[in-house]
Amino acid sequence: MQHKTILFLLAGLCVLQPVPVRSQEPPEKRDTLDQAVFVARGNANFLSKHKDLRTEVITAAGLCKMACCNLAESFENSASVTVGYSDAVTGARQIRLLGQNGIYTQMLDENRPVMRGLAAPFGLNYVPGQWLESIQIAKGVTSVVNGVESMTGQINLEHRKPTDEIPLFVQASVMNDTKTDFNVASSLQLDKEGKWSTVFLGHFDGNFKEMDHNDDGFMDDPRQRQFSFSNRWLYQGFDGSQVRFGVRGIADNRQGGQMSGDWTTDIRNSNLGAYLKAGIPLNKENTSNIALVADYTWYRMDGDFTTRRYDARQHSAFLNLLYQNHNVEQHHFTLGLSETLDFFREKYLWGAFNGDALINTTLNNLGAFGEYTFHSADETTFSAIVGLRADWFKDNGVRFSPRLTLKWAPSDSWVFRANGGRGLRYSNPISDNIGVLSTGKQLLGPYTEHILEDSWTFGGNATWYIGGSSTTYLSFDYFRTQFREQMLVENGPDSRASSIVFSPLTALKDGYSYTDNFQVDFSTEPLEGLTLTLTGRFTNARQKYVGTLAEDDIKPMTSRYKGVLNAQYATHLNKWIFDFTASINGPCKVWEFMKGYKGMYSDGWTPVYPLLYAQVTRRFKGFDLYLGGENLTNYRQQDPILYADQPFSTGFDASCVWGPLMGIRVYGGVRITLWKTVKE
Amino acid sequence: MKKSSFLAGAVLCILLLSSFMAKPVFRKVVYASTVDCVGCKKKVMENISFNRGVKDVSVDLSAQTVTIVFDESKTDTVVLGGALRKLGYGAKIVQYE
Repeated sequence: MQHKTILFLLAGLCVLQPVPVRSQEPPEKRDTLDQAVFVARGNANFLSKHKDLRTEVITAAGLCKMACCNLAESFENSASVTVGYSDAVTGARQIRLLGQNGIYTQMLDENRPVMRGLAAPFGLNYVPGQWLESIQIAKGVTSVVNGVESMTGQINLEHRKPTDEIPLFVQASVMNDTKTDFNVASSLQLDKEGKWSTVFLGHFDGNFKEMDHNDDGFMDDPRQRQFSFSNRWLYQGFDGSQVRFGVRGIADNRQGGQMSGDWTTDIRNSNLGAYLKAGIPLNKENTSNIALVADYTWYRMDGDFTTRRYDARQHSAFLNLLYQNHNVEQHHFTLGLSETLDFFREKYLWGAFNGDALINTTLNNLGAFGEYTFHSADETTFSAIVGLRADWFKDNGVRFSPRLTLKWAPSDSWVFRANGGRGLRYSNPISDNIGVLSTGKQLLGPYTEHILEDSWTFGGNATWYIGGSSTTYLSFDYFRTQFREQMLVENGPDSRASSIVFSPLTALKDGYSYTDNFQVDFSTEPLEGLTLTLTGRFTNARQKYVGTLAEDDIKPMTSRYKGVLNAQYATHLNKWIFDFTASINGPCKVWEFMKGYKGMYSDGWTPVYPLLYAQVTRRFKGFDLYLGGENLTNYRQQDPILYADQPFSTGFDASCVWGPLMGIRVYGGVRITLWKTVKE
Repeated sequence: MKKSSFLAGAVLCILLLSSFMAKPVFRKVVYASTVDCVGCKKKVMENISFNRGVKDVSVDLSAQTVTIVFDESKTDTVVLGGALRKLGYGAKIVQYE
């Protein structure tokens, strides 16, 4: 009785506490930038209402809602992008967009192509989430201005800016398995006029403890240490001219494999790069300008997989010269020339498998392009972007790539988009499929050749902003990617499953490869501070097989569907933030040789599995503390390494990964932000 | 039982009384400021929100104003204006209620 009385009194007190007066100011919609609308609310992910392409934006808040040690992990709460491991020994992460491997998604660093070639397999691990301000994921073929390599979509990374008034940012986090992450950033404005500014970015992460939770004798995650740094500069002239330049370096060592056996991996990656971007206005109004983008990247990958080695070097240069004109309000023109030059030096030290080889390859792509953009007079109702590229590819001649994007918003509540066009890229068979090195199988086919992959992607999107709201919407999209040429890889096409075969699509009789992708997104704010998003994705990926064992043409190791529920609750003024993400991950068809392995996959499919993530953040003036958990259902793929007890046999295969390798993980971290102040 | 009920009632009365007596007074001040960018808005929100006594903050970029609701017993317009100026933005009061 006494307890009840006390509870009653406490409840009475709570009711009687004065309710803070809330501003009655309506949500800010005057600013046309999505960013401006969402910055106050701290939304993690949202579909942009204003972009011409169907674009999902992961904001700084989204990048803080999980451990987000690196770019790969920042996609965990997105249904558009599926994140997985390339194999069970190297720790390399890969993404899928529209049901296709992430190599077909063009990665941009503030509109410069990055993570190409050798950088692709580990590139996602090398972009610290805390270096980023936001990520934009655009589905379908994108602007011709950034090259022709976007086939299923484009992911643009916006880094912390030199103009950010944050002279010091520090983040440190640690997981219960000793995985440690440390980031530092410093943005400095160097003169009162605001002409010169720079940002220094530093990163270290490491995994110090070897663990083998499933007792297969192999480390769950490799021992690893990674350092990276970047320095970016910005010059802004009073006449509207801008110069941006910067450097970047990465050093990463990772040792995995058996805890106490002879089969180990030792991978050493290094990267150095520099870039320059300059924009010069040609008139006072800056409605006409020229721009130059130049980028150089050196990449080294030395990969020792005990039974074979792959040591490779890559020098890449990218040059883009643009002329832009929007003298007439509704009509924008861009004309340009581009050059992409890649030099690869690849050592295939296959030993007992196929012998050794050293192959030097030069890939050259010279392009000319034009793009016309029409916006209706009100700039929002209708827009059309028509682009055409003519690219000369060394050994392949000239290819034309038309692209079209349409957007129609008949009212505040509806946005319709359609998009289609061609994408082209040179394949890098080994680095695109790094998992094949973690097997005991013989590699067959033209895996040293860099064939020109060729695809067409078409799709559309309809979004209903309920009641004209920017925050409550229902969206549906469909995209199809059809390859005309692709390097197909089939694991175990023969009955002995002792080989992995590479084959160009056009070398197969009646060859085909396509993916249909459907997605539904729903987002709402039922209460102030509470954001709910629900996303469902279904993928139908089909391809012609190299071998004859397959019973159907469903593409193996590609998840059929995924559903994601994100809930975020932030108290008033974002002092407490609670994040929760639940996903259900659909089955993948397995390779034929996996059927029945240790009694698993007898129906030819992997099981459906759930994943849960949760995080609590407490924010104070100048610093945040956060505590979270990953994979809270503790679901792990059972026996991810086939024949782990016989690593020198032809059956050994660590590349058949479809689920989580790590169980439940708990982490804690701190973010310290020092804002620039002035003396009064 | 009677004794405990009486005690609870007395405590309730005292708490109700003190609650009414201690009711904080919230004020709203609107500053004309120099905030004109998304980054500026973020900087103001991330800093002023955590100042003692601040109950609500909003920034209107197009009007270039910062509106703050605060507990009068914990802070005042001088402190808040100073905090805005320390961040590098102007802070001229245009409305106070």
